[in-house]
Amino acid sequence: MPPLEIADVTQKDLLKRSAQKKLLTFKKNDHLFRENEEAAQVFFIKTGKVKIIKHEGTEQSIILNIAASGEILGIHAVVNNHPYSNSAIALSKTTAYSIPADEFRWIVKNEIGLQLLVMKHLCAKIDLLESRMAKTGRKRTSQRLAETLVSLVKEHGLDSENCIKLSLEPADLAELVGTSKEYLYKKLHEFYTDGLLSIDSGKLKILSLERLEKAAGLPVSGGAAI
Amino acid sequence: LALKAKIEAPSCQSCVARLNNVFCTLTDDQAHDMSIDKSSSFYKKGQLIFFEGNRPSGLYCINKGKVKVYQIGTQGKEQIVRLAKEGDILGYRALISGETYNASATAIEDSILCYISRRTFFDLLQENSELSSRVMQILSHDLKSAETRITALAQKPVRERLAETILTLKEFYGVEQDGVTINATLTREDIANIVGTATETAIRLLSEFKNERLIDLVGKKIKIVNRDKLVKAANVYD
Repeated sequence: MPPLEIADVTQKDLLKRSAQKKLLTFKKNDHLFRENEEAAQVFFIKTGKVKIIKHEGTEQSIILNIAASGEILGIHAVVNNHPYSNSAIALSKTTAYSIPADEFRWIVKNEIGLQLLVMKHLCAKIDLLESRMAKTGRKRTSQRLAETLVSLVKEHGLDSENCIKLSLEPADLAELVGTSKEYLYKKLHEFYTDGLLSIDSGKLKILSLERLEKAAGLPVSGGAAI
Repeated sequence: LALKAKIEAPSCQSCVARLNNVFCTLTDDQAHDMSIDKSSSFYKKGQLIFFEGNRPSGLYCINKGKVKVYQIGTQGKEQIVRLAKEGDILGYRALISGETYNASATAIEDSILCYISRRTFFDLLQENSELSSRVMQILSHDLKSAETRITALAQKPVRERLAETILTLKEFYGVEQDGVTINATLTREDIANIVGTATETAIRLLSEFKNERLIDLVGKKIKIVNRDKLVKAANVYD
């Protein structure tokens, strides 16, 4: 159901309204912004992949999500005029439009369509995190690793060699699962021994997606015991 | 069994809960319109308000009481993703995004909830730009706290998470007149489902905290005996 009588506004409209936007290019491992810095800009990813990572309050960082084309970053910090609550780091060459925080707030302020766009964007991100929260609270680390791999396959696909298209450093994968690198290696080795996957020149090759789904406790086999 | 009883609807104009929530920006006329449109119901403790996967046709505003919002896993285990209290609104994200509810909501105390239709809510959003700004602010805040919670859930040991949960409960629901008893009655299972652990583990750790004199347990209520030590156990900086 579309919202009642509110014109459908897209990100393009939002970008069009900005006179001060800039198209920026980031190399792999460049920061778009850093956690706890003043939120000076919002970013609209045009191309590339960006990891959204949180450090504060824990010894180990966690990747909240991997953002791709079409996502808006830094939005909640700018709306509430808070420092960025996470860092954004390019995983590959990335291009993104930046809009200054003040201009963004000003553009959005008096147009209900744009506000709704921003709201929907925020809603989608919260939904994603809450679902992850539910999974994290319920599952063991090995299940979470399997599940993370399954979702990487589903989101980014496999190449002709059955390797996950998005290549992640082991540290990134550990942060995405929310575990240590040591534990990750141990579990990957177990998956390898069980014939679920192999590691091919730094790339993860999926040997049996079905068994990986099983290991993730996803509803394919009638449920694994916790 | 008639769990859901019709009650006399509280008026939005004089609603104390409204003054601190998203609808505080309404004009008297708008509050009057909302009051006429809405319906109010009594929910008994343990009663379902909405169910994950259903489609919303409006949003709920808590006039009185407390609510848990949770997702259910394939094994039937709940994970509480959010708690709500007087003045909080529920189900607004699904309404805004046009999606189905991503979680279920159940009253954890006897509660009175007002139901505001989709039509009224969107009309108000269009009429009142302060309201839509407030909604954006609330969503931004919710996103930030979801980030913090997922980080804690993935990284912190259960003991730290339990200590942090107790502190958060105190922060969120406040304390009774004695100044130390948390003003909420949650079952051990609920606490486990917030922390993200087995109920047995939550029970064991709660008695550990009791033995170490960080907290005291009186029935289902939790008293914070030594806040400093609890903060230390939670490994949070404040």
